[in-house]
Amino acid sequence: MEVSREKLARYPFTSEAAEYIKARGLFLSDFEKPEFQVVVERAEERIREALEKGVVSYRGDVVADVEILSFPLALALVNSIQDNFLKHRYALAESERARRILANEEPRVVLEVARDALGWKARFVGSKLMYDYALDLGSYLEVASVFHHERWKLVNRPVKDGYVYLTSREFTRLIAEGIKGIIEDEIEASPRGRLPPKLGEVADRIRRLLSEKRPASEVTEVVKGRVVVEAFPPCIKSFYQALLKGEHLPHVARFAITSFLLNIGVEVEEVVKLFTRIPDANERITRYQVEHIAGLRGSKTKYTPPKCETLKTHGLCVEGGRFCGRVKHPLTYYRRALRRFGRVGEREKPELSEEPIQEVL
Amino acid sequence: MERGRNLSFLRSLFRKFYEENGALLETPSSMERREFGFLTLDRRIMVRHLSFEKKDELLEFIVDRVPSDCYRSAAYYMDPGAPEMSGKGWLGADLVFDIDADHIPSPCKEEHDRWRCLDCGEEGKGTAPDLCPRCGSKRIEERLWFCSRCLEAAKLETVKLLDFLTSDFGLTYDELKVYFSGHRGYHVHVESEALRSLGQDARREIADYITGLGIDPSMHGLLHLRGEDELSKLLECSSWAGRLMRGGYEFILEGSVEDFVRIGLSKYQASALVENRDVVLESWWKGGFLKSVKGLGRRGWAKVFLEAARREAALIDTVVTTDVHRLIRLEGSLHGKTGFRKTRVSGSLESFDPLKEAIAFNRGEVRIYVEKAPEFRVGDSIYGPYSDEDVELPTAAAVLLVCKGLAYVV
Ligand code: SF4
Ligand SMILES: [Zn+2]
Ligand SMILES: [Zn+2]
Repeated sequence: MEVSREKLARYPFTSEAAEYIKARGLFLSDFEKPEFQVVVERAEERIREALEKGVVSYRGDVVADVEILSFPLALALVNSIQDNFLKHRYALAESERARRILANEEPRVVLEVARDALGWKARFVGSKLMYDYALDLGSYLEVASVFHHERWKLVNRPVKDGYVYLTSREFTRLIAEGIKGIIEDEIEASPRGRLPPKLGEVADRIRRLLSEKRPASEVTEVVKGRVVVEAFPPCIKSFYQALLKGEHLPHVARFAITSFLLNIGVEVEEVVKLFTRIPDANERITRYQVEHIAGLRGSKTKYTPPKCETLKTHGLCVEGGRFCGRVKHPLTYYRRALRRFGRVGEREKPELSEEPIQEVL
Repeated sequence: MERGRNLSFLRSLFRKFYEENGALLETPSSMERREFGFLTLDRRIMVRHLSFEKKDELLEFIVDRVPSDCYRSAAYYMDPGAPEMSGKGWLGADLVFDIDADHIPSPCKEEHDRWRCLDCGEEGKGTAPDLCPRCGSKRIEERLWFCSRCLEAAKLETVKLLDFLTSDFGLTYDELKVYFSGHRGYHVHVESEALRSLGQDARREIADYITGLGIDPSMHGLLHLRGEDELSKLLECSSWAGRLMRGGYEFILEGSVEDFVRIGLSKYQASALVENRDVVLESWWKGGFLKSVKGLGRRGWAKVFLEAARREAALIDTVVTTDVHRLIRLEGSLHGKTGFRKTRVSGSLESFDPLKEAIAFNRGEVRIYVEKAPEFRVGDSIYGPYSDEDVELPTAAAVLLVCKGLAYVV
């Protein structure tokens, strides 16, 4: 069956779309030609939208080919800029685009995308149960174990005969997450040579926009100057690492790291900066939340981080605490580890190893 | 000197066993992709990062070195013999489950497990403390024993685990292998292509699912049930909902006021529950229990279901399941702490008798001097208790005491 171009335009990350694009046999230099001007413009627009709104629009009004071809071109532009924040943000915004389109599709199409783009085994179960879709266990675990909210914990899902049951909304959310991974891979795999002149200009404009939109990044240094990151307990290290990468954290984890940092003496301002690395973070709300936890608002109580037990219940403790001796509280871990790193006075700066956090984990 | 005699006794016995019974040793699938490891008999040092292409090579190595215990990786590697984890090239790993009496509360442990402080000599019964209560030392030696009762408790957990694996995860019995570990529990190996590539986070989700860690009854729809219809739909897709209902039913059926108070209900709620027991059970499977006891609201019912979850969960060692680089005992090999074999349960688990079917040495008798040993069973016979005496025992029973360090060959 011939796949409609409209479908490829909606889902340009599928293998069908990739084949269609490949069959056109285009090189980056071809986009310099005037007939491709509109494709170049749309590619630039895609990236702008990602940076400005966090979601790429679906242009059903343009010629399908423009929507299809601007996608690989945008990937190539993003890849040529070589910036992790941009890559992450772009993949996220494209996956959000897909999620919004999928939300209005028929089950048949949703299942096709899940199967063709992601290789998932899934079926529509209709609303005869309270759920709409059933997804095979292996695929569910692979994609959902990055979410830490208790709602996504396997133990809180209906599971039977190797399938996990999901509502429509949940299923499309998972597909979008899977697609994000695919797009990240596709960015890496896209051509990264020297750009022809016109595309080079586009890339320059994007770089300028990027420097406006990029959240403050000196935060690593700021945090490091006051505290010993190496002494963070594994759970907090993993949250911290995720934030540095601009990744989303579940609510409990956000609360845990915020209260942890505030308790060991990091300033509100610095914590806010850390959080605004997340692509779609709203700075005002973030600040409000951090100030609330710091006890500057509302009830005026300064919160302490959750106990290990609580973190365990939420599936946030790292490997059941086997790197943590018998501590019951992340702050205890930190204090003990500090002693191992030598006492840290007000003036003396601790000796820090240059090891990236991944390796300490 | 006695130790030396024990060692050479075990060495020649173990060697002979592997020479004559090579066929009993199972090799894992894709053995050339597995890492192997061994504990040396004399100093119990772990030698790992080894790899073997064929069973012959493996057997030859074992007969030559005579390790006390043999292990192989659950993982598959590009280069399993590489000396560092990072150089091995992880390709995937079977899913493994370990059920050990260590993780199961059973009253017999208080009777037969002992510990001794290596610094001050303080001794005690039951599970060893983290620190010596007298001198604070961490150097504590455990003397774990095992009996039919704790093995039975481990078996029960294994039965529960198998239900999770088949009815929840949809695995077939072809994909599952159940083994008696040779000591205090059971291992279940799952070789499923769909699950092989799962990383640590995903495996942790599986472990949490099976142990019920973090379960929230409200997310299983039971705290907002509107009647029988909804309940039956729920049971059609959620295995845990079924467990919570079954476990809750049993708990209410058997529970006393004290039991209900222990899970956090108020005295008043607990008595109301007991008084209305019949009404509750009557309405249970009709999904009408939520309104059946005055004064017991959603929060109270959540506590009942949490207790149900505790009873229905299977107590696996979650660290084993989560670790993607884990070495596990080689199937069919001898356990250095007992002289029993890690033995496949091929028929029904319920009727499997580990103390009989795992016997490796079934010929001859051995004279040993026993310092102290509780009563125990091997095969169909019961032995002991012994205290500072010379006895002649069938080889399997004698080996058990020698391996446990409770006796010397004379
Ligand atoms: S034991 Fe406590 S401190 Fe350690 S990782 Fe778990 S939750 Fe964090
Ligand atoms: Zn002591
Ligand atoms: Zn026992």
